[in-house]
Amino acid sequence: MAEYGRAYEEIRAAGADVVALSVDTQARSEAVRAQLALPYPVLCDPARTVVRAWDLHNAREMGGIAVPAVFVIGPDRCVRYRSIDSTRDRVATDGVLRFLRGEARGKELGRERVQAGLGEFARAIANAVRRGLRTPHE
Amino acid sequence: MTPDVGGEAPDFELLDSTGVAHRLASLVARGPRVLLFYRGHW
Repeated sequence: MAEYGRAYEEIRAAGADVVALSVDTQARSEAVRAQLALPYPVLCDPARTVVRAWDLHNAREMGGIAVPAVFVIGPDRCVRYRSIDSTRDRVATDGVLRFLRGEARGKELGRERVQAGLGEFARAIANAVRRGLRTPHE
Repeated sequence: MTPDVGGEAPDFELLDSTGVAHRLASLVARGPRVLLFYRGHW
């Protein structure tokens, strides 16, 4: 999320754009977008319609959340790249940028360890206290 | 089924955090779009 915000100008320069999606409500999504100053839209799927249709619904955690994943979707909705990730390991943002620039093929993109910083951890706890641990189903 | 490389992603329409509706087909109409599924809840 934040990494794609920081890389946003380079992504735009490569002729691409970004959008994020989770099962969070509008209020929670907007809080995240504002906190991270994200320059791209953050979509809300509280009914879990899209995460279910895309088979990216993790029903075992927190009332049902999205499995972390990164896609590059071209015009006509053609899937150019996909990476189904985990909480610990994900495709490197820099790799996705190189892919968008045509400098790397999908299978060549590196992985990176996900390490939440202390600030992120503190923010997560504050938000959980404020909004609860589960996102209500709509 | 999760859409795979070379396949067509199913279209959808969702509201963003500010209440604006977005359709996937429109989001990708002008160029490739990085679509990030994230866990949220933080």
